[in-house]
Amino acid sequence: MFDLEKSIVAWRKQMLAAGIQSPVPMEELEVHLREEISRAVEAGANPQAAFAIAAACIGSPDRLKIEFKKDVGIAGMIGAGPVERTNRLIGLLWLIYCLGSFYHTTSGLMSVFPHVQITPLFVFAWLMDFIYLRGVVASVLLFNGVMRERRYIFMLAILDALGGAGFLLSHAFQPLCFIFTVLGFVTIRLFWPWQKTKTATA
Amino acid sequence: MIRKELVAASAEPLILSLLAQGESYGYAIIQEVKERSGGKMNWTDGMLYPVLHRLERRGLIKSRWGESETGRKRKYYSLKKEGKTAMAKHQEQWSLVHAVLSGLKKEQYV
Repeated sequence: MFDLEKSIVAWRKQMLAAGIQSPVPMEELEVHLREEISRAVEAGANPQAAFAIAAACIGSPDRLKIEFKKDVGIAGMIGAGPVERTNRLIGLLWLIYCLGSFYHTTSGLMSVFPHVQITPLFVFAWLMDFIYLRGVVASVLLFNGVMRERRYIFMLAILDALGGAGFLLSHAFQPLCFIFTVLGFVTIRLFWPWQKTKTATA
Repeated sequence: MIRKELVAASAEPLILSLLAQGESYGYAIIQEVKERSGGKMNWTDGMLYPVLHRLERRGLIKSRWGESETGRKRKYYSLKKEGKTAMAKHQEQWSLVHAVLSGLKKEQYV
């Protein structure tokens, strides 16, 4: 006697054994399987045939595993397409930069905090601290593919490129400052004009 | 039947365009594509989900778990603003390919 629930459990085991992850996407695939079965039953198929049809429609565990694998491992880490890869790289570089700058500014502010006078420079430093902190959030979001954060990183890149270039021109050459300036210009080059090219997905 | 390479290449623009009409879920997306293509575009159902997850990770669509009117659990997907921009770009590119092909076809009959 055919037992639908037992067959679904066996199908699930096969999927998990093939490497399909639970709960995502396993739960979603099971929901789909059940939907397909109930539609086939409504159309007049017996449960056994409906299950066979639904399982065939979803595809073999091995084929599915290959498709889902494209999104994990190294390919998943560096991104599936050029846009995603750019976001990941820029997100990572700006995360390092913003974290470092936030730490540097905060520790400087804290060291003088109890005795400091409220001067325009002091207010500016706090403002920059907030901008770097927001930059940390933006970098993480951009790394995860949130496209709107490109605008914030783009704004930071302009500030960084102009500030860095000004410093290099007026002071002695500093390798770290040079790297940050290059980072600013590279980001501007990659993200401009973002509406026309970079949000397009191949 | 449409070749599988073309089916795979058109998956993204089709999903984005369908979601532009409103929130939907995996099973419904597949049925809609089957219906609109007169049964000539057949996706292996399970292949839809890696594409949906990829689009979600790229910030083009978003998802939420909900329930159907009969109480069945479903994961609904909807288009984000970034997805609309990507969809417009896809449509522009596919229209261009179509225009080139149509032009060449017309010339054969002149």
